[in-house]
Amino acid sequence: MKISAWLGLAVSAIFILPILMLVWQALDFSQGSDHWHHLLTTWLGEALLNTLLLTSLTAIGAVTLGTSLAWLTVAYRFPASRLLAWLLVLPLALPPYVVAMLVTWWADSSGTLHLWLRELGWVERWVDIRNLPILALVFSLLFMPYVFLLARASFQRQGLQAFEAARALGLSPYQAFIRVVLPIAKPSIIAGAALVMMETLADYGASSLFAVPTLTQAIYRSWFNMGDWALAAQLAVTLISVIILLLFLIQPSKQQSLAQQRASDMAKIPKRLLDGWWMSGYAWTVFALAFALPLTLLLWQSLSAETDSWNFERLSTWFANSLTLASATALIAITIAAWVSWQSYRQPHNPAHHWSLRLLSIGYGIPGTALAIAILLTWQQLGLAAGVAALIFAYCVRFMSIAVQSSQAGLSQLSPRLLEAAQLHGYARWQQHWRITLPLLSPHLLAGSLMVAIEVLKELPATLMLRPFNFDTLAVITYQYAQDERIPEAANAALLIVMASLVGLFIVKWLEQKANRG
Amino acid sequence: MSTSASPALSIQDLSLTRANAHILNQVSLHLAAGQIGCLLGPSGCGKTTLLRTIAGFESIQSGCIDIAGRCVAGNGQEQAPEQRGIGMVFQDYALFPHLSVAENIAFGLHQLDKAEQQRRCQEWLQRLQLDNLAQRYPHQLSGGQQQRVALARALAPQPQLLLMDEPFANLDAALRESLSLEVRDLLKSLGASALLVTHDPTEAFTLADVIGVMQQGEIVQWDSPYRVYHEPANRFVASFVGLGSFLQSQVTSPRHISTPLGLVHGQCTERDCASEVSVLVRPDDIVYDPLSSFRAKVVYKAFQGPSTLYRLALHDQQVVVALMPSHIQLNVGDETGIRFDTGGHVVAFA
Repeated sequence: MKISAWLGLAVSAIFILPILMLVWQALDFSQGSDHWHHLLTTWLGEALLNTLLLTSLTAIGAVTLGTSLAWLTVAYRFPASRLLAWLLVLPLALPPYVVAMLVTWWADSSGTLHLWLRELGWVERWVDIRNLPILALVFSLLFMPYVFLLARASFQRQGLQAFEAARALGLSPYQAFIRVVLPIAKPSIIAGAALVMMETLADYGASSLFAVPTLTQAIYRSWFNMGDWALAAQLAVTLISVIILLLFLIQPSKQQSLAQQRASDMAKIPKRLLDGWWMSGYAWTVFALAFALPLTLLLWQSLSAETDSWNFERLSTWFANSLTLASATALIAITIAAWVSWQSYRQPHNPAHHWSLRLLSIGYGIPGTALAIAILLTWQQLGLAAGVAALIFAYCVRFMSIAVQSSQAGLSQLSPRLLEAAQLHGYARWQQHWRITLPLLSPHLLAGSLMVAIEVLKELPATLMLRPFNFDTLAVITYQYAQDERIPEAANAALLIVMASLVGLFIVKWLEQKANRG
Repeated sequence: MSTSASPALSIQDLSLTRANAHILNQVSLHLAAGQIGCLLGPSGCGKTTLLRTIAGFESIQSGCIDIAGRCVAGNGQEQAPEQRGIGMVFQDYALFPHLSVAENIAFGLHQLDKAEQQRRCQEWLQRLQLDNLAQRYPHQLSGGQQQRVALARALAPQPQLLLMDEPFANLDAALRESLSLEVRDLLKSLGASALLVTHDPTEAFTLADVIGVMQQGEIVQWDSPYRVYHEPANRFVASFVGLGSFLQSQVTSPRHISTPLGLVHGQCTERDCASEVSVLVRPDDIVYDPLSSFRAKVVYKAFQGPSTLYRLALHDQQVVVALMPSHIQLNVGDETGIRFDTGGHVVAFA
């Protein structure tokens, strides 16, 4: 085996080492059995139940919203439908804990919405909105884009042929959608649902601000409040097992994905003018609830904050910290991902590269809390103090799969024939890379790094648990102010995260258009 | 564009084994300078692999390859693809998506100075009627235009041999025919030597001076299009390159075969033949002759424009396929007289 294969495997082994350490520690039952008993009798059962309930409700909500909106924007034409297809992705720029903060503040019993409604005489008695169904609704709206994007791509690939064949065989548009279009898109929708569930299971900030106990909070508490490492490790392993079980249960069969590939080379669906306002009204309402309203509330609160120079200075320090972490992680992640992907592209039949890529991508399924525990344990075993290095390592493990996907997407468009053609024309290897590989790959690598950077900016639990003393980021500050109900201060920091993420998303979109012209 | 007298391409006993399977088995061929050769065969027969070994993208295990009299592979030595003096048109064209048409064509001219590059590029743009597309990008071109660009890019550095991998596979039928004639005219006017790969016999007949029919890694026949069609080397070639029927017949003497359509001059094509043989009858071997004593009944009819394809049942219930001018209007159930016109070549298999 070549050195490159060993090197790739070594790097990916380092990436999964903390997870192995976590499992090993969790198996060490000699410690913490009292706490287990205590937790079981108090709120562990509730946390587990909440986690499962929250995940299922969110998945149902996000799949309903995402699939219906995807079909609407693909199959029908209504005012600004193209714009809407792009706008509906924007909720990805909103961290859940920011929206949770805004919702709990705005709609709480002492919040503005309540005051308005009471003045209008619409409500007598306010119900507490800090509950699980409302949280699931918030998650559904925020995570809907994952399903929306994948379902939309699948609808566009399958085109109109199957739909029209079904119509010609006597089915109504609705029946044709249910019986033909939906089953063909099923693998994509399920993949979207899996992403939604992983995001929900990984959440710490939003559920904590909603005071809905979940597994991630149990992990945080047993580590921070009880100082019980073994228990934290056991809970983290429990959480990871739930995720593995979920992914296993909803894994689409190979046959289904084959069916999808076969239908892939069809034209786009010609759009019809939408008669009836309700569909476009529905789409705009979802956009308003999932993005426009939270952003408005955020701007409003941010503007009402006192702005003096002292605050500004502190904000810029946090911003600088966040940006440094984001760019360092993006650079490291894309370098590793691009290198391993390139090795696997060069030797597609070498299983070592295949496994390296798979191992590197595992971290995406590990929630930040569990990963933080794993890395703290590993660092402890190595006799190191957790610091910025541990934090960047955690980000790399967590978001490497994004970088891997971008690299592979870029390489999949680089036909080996292109390099052969360049070679035939007498170009040396480095010239081939300079003239062909790099220009074709760079938009994808840049987009990948930006997406990693956005995720790092938004990441909360791992940052909260791993950051060095006196080292704060925008995400941590937002959360801490939100916990203290200092909403205007929190909004300032949160607005910076959202704005930076939006700029990133715009550039990614522009790069995608540029890369897709080939 | 070789002007030397040595063959453009010469392959001796080329073999390639992968995972204990013969991908190429003892392949030999000779392509004269200025000729267009074609490797024809079903998918998986090894024709594309053979093309890629000639280009140098696949290593050979035994045998040797000469291009324009120079050994490029063999005797344990292999030249790199870029040293072999070849041009290649890939199946998906492999145009560089981030470069314009002009930049694609000039890509292989980098050893020349800028002015010469420009001049040469302009020349090729004109020759292939791409003048007004020079600044476009590949994704803005139609399939036919992309094909022209790929051809111009491959030919611009003046290779000694042009290789084409299924060059017309991505085009629709009408365009395929007109473009393949155009490509043939172009290559002939340049005096270029070319070898292309296809699975479509019609395409091979239109373009090639010489066809190599491949089956399971072997060239089973290397011959002119006419002989490949009318004198196929075996049953596989016979049925792969066109329609036809096999008539059960008897060998009556070393030089005669008795068919249901009369006694013909000929002998069995294969070595070990019993007295029972199958004689190949192409649709155009059957001639309409109302006065003939050989009668046949129409069982199927397909109008094709200039001609009509019939399936005719003979007196012993054997069926032949016949192609007749469309003015001869027979109906299903009609009886007519036919003649077997061998054209001087009879092919009979065991």
